[in-house]
Amino acid sequence: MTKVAVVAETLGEALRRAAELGPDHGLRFLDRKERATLVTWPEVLERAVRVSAGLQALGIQPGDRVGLVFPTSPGFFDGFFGAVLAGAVPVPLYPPVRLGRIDEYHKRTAAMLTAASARLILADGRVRRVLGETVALAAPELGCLGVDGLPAGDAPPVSVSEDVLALVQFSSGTTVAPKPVALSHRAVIAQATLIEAQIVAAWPEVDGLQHCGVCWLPLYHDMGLIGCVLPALLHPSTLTLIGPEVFVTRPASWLRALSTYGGTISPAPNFAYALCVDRIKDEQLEGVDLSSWRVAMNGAEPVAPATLRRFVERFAKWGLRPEALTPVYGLSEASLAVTFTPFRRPFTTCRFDRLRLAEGVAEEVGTNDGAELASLGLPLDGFELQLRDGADALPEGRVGQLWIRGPSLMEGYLDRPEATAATFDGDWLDTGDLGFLHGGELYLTGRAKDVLILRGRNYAPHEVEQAADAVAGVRTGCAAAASWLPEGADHEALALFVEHREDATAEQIAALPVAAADAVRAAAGLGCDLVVALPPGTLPRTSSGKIRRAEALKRYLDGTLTPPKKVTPVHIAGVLARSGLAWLRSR
Amino acid sequence: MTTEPTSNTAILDGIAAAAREELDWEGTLTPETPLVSAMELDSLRMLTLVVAIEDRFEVCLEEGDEAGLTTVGDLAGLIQKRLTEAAG
Repeated sequence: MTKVAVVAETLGEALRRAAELGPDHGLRFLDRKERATLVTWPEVLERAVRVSAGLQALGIQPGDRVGLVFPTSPGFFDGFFGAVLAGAVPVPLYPPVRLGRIDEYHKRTAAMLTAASARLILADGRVRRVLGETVALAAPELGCLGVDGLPAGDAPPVSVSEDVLALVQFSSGTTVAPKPVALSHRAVIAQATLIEAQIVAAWPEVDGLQHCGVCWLPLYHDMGLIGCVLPALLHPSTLTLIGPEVFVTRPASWLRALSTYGGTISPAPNFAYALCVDRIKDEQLEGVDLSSWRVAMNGAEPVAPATLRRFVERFAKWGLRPEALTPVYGLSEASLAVTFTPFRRPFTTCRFDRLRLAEGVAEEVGTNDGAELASLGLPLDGFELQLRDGADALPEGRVGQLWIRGPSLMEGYLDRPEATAATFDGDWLDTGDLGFLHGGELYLTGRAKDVLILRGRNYAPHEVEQAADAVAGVRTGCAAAASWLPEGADHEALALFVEHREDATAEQIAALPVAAADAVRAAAGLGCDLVVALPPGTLPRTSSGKIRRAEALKRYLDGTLTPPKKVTPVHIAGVLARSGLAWLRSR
Repeated sequence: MTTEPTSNTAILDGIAAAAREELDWEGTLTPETPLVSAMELDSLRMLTLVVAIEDRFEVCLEEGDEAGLTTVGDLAGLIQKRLTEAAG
């Protein structure tokens, strides 16, 4: 049986069409004990219509932004589709982590709500009890309510055009100048349609194959909402949802759900595949059969060839198809995906001459000592890639800054014309990523933009640097955080370079790396892999005095990060490196 | 776990066992041990520990529970409080 894909111009229309096809499919929520609750598409619609009427009765107008703070639960969809049907713009934000640092959470969430000019916050009951300070800081005009706290109303859903905003997502959560990515209905529908069409073209629904997804990704993350939920709506099927906290604490729940519900599609960032290999025990997979899993996209953070191989080898005996692992590339500014490794083809990696790569030329080598990179595949239909050096387009095989053009790019950063103008050149968007084309396929080598990518999430370096400021002996404002994928590693490593004060004592300098790592862990919840204390003036700066983070990291790795004047050995003694990093020990 | 009141030592042992099993953490815990730095609790490890503790003691640690929680003793106190609430 081949299903007809839903044709719709807006998310509201897509939900109505999916609901019209009947109660066979919907959203299946798994709890911590892996018990399932199904909410069918007609039910999702019915609940959303009620919420939409309530929002309108409260005074929500088309175009108003509504912050959503929910765990993975039916409530999220009440709020999301309720806002959409009211013509409003949902802004999904992450809920607080239990026993996490709530002060930081309040600041960050309030900064995002303010950046999105949220008029109202809808939140889960449990979350609402601790959200008080966030609400006080952001002060949305209509306050913070649960969906059951909305007034009763009978206004029908509002029709909107495909040109208006469908949702706002954040490219990184941060207290400093968060960038809200504004996406139109046209963009998100185009993106979800491309994903859906490409899957069905590679794996047609014949001989009993019926596509359905499994998703543990957070719904405030583009890969979860746009990559999993919207394709399930456009190609009506049942999407199985697991809370991200359930996955990270019990990764086997993901693979068991794929097996139990015959999941064919399930994406995740690289760290998740490594977590499965490291944490799942064989006995947790009794009776599990992963052969239904056709497409396991790996994206949202750099793809590590070592992780791909480890995952394929480890789970082959549970029927994992080696060709399922699919490295992809995307960014929230493009709604989600930009390139896919062709489905049904096993992932490929190539080795490139290191010296030539450093000179900006990708030269494949036959030996085993070249730098190994995973291919991220080909652009999706309608997308174009261009590598540039400044304003000049580069030919294949030359390393440059990646620009993209395509049907699902953002309208811009919400209410930030300058940041938007700095990102676009006509209809080309600067990704801030560095890479090259080889055989027509995309390979990434690094980043020109200052962003930390850890566990599939983007972080602004300021957050880590500010935490270091509070440490005794640190020169205020003189820290640089950067992350990169060390060769052979499973995930990006986080490095923090900190200048100490001129008058810092030898004891302070020696204690600085450990103290800074503790401060970062407490403030940002992130573990540093490397902390280096440096004499004042060592970090490279621009002519206007801004610290050049990527350059600092590059110089450190090259061994050329040196202080401006001669220093005694004690000054460079303060280095903390996490023991797991073999490459650091060998230096 | 049991219907009898759980002693502070039993709670500390339970926290240590959870950390050993789920975080591969080796060490000795006293009530004064600083929670985050001693067990290197980044956000993922913190969540893993929370869920392991919830399963072990059959209690629920909620959002907002972290106020004033800096040592292992504070965490043990919170678990004790939840156990008492559940019993009462």
